[in-house]
Amino acid sequence: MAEQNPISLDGYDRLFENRIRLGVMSVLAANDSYDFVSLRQMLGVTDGNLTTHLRALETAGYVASVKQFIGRKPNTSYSITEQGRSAFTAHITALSKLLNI
Amino acid sequence: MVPGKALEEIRNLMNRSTRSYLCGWSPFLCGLIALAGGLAVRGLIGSADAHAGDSGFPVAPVCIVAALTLGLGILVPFIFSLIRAGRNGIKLSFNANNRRLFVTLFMPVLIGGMMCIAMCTAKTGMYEWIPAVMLCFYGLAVYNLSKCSEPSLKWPGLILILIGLAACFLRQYALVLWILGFGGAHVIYGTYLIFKSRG
Repeated sequence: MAEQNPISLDGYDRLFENRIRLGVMSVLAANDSYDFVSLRQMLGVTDGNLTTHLRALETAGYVASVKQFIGRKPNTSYSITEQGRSAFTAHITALSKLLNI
Repeated sequence: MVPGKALEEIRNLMNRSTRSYLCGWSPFLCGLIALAGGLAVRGLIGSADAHAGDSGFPVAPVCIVAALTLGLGILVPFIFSLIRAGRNGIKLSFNANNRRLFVTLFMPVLIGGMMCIAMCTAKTGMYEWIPAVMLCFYGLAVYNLSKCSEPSLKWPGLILILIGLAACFLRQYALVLWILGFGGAHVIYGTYLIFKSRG
């Protein structure tokens, strides 16, 4: 069994240092999918701000998006990827370890 | 961000963002049970009236049917939901949101229920008021539930309240209105949800 260093930062993800990115991941981890407008309301941020952070998460492969039309309105919904979920879980584990030092 | 604060915020967001999905089959089944129970009570009262000399209201059989209806009305949809959740891989959790749903629904219902029990024990005949009280309190509960769950719940809530108020004035039709409210409203709203979820 590998011995774990209690102060190792394994799993800590610099991408999640931002509050909004961490918030997006929290919401997506708890829900199958979430649409852009609801996500914006939940986090209380502006359109542009959220778009930038979502793009960063999508580039990292943590978040997937599906664009579709509901009636005539475009609607984008986001969901967490396998990779995103494991990165998020690892990050939370790292945070709790930091707390327990 | 401090780790403790970040974790706190993650937990908060995960709880707050979780939506409760309503499944149409539960209200539908509830409605069928209410219809069966209501019609059974109607039959019991009818046959008691037909037997001349019987002393009025058949209290014991009606109470048994009422208890059965209540028990089945809660148990059947609950077990059904458990099975469906298990099959779809949904974990049922008693998180902050679900706790709020639970309190919103059951607080008015329990208070109304206590009033109904008090009415049952009253010496002067208060029976005819019971369906009205049940409808009004349940309607209020459902109406408030619309604020923390499916927003369209306010319509069946309002209809139940209106039928309840009607039952206050048209007390001779109280039982029919009860069947209409608890049976009809549930079945119709359940059917609406089932078709809505199919798109």
